[in-house]
Amino acid sequence: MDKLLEIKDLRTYFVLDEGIVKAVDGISFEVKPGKTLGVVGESGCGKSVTALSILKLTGPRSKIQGEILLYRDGEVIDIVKLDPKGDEIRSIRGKEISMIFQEPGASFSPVHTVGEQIIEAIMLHQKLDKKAARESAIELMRIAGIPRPELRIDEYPHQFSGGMLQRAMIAMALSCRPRLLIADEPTTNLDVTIQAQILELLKELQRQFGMAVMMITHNLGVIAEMTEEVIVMYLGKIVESASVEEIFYNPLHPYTKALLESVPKVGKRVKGRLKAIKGIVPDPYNLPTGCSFHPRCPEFIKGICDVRVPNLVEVKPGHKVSCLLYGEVKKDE
Amino acid sequence: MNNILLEVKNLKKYFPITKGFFRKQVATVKAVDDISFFIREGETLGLVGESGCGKTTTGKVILRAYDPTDGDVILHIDGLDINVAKLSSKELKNVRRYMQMVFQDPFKSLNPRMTVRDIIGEPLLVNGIAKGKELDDRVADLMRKVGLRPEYMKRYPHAFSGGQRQRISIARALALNPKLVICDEPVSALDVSIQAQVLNLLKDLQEEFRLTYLFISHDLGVVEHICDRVAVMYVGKIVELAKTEELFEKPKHPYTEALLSAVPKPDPRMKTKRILLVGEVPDASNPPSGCYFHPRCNYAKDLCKEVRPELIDIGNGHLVACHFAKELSLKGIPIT
Repeated sequence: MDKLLEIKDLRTYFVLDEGIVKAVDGISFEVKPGKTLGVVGESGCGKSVTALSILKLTGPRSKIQGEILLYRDGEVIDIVKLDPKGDEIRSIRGKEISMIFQEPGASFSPVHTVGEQIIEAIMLHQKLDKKAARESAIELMRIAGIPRPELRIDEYPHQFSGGMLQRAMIAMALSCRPRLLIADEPTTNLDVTIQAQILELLKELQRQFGMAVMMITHNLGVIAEMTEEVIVMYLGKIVESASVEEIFYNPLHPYTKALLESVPKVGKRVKGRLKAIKGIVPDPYNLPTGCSFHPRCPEFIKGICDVRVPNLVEVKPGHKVSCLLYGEVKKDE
Repeated sequence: MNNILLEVKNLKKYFPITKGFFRKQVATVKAVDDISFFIREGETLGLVGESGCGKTTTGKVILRAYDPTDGDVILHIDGLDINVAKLSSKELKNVRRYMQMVFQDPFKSLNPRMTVRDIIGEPLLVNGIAKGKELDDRVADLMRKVGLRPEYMKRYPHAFSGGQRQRISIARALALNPKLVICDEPVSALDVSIQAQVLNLLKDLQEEFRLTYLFISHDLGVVEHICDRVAVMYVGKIVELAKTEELFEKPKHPYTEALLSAVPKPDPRMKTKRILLVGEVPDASNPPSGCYFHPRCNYAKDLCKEVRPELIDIGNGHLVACHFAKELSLKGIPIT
């Protein structure tokens, strides 16, 4: 099968004064060209750090181990080995892999016009003069659904609304026709009607440009609607990965099940109380032994779950789960 | 049917926009523009809408955190009818204890320099209800009720997680045995697995203390779960108000229909065609003519551009502000 990006045993640790935070702890997955991968989990589960690791944007106090393999015209580049400030990663960032962030208001520089910032991104990767880059930026803004782009290109970010700014962000991210777009909570701060507009826009652009999308979100509705494959993360590990249908109709991991049950859904009214997951996400400096979900797990087995660490095993074709209830764990692996 | 606890009549809150050294008024933002509704005792009324539609301002005007421009807020307590909107600030102090608020962001709504004991105990102290050892006991009791351990009383808010902080905030709101609690997006800032815990807590407390909630939220899933009736706001006005099931299954206002269809459904097999609204929420200082929703409405006719529809009862307590409410057949979400 064709691959665009393959991640093998990625570990991103932050070495801080308080201790080591294992933000991402041994995850493996792949992204196929033109497909949409959903990454779902609560805050602090390592979703965003995974995305930032792919672009090597995790900062000087982080340590990235494992392999991040980018397949490009028959050659394979291991992003982990690249210098985070070198030319090679810079030719990948924005060109091969682009990213859009949660808060468009915080991602744009307030002292430059939106146009200047998009033009900068274009001129960095393409051999265009300023005039051609401006034309191209206007065209991109039009594709992203910004009305009257030839006027709005000279406006500053504060003159844009949140939804419009996210469109401008998408225009910038698409400026070099990336093969992979990482969308980190792209609609979280937007109103539902604007969220709907942005999601439809992303779907349309994906059809047009054929890029792969890695959709990071905690919103299960967005996952159900946008993605084909889903990874569920908890405390830096993948607890379950499967097709979107399998995740929603046949979830195996107790965490996935609990997550699906605990969210009030439109159209499915739960009488009385919701099934809440007990407890809170543990302190990252002091992770539980064994399976890291065991203190909150409704199917916790004493003497097993708090001792043995489960591995991600394939229990069905394409459906992997990391739980001791499924499949036997090989000893001392 | 329960008694009516809170009645809001023709409530208005306008904010002036001033310019220049002499603060000359150049325009008015009609944040809340002539809204009326009531809440029964023990009921939860949801207030939904997009950001900037006036949900939070409505909550704050009811509490008199803002003084209303016009209108009445009548609280029916112990056989008395108290018009909160008309009280002087001195009289207000005695009435405030009946109405409390839980805020959206538990990281901003708790004073980082106060211990949990001081935060929860302050309303009791200020109102001269308890002090010293008795205060400690009351605070411990409140903490147990919201599912916190009283041993943590001496700690500061930074030592607590988001969900626990929201519990502190709820305990503070409950300290004076209020009748009405205004919950302004109480779970929006929390993680999904924690949201359910806090929603369950709010439901349990409502049963235990017969609380009445005004529940402000933009999350329709949460609103559907917790609310008995729902009011939909758009640019400072209520456009539709109905029982929760009815509003979700048979919306009568095109804006409600669009809101419902915009929510991503957590079901990969439900790939329905969604109604996309063009454009964005209009500026409240310069709203469109006629029906405020007409520039974005898929069903708008000439009449909508000129005449503003009134909020009328189309039967069974279902209020709609749309000229064509009876003619349009709009799509809701079947509730199973």
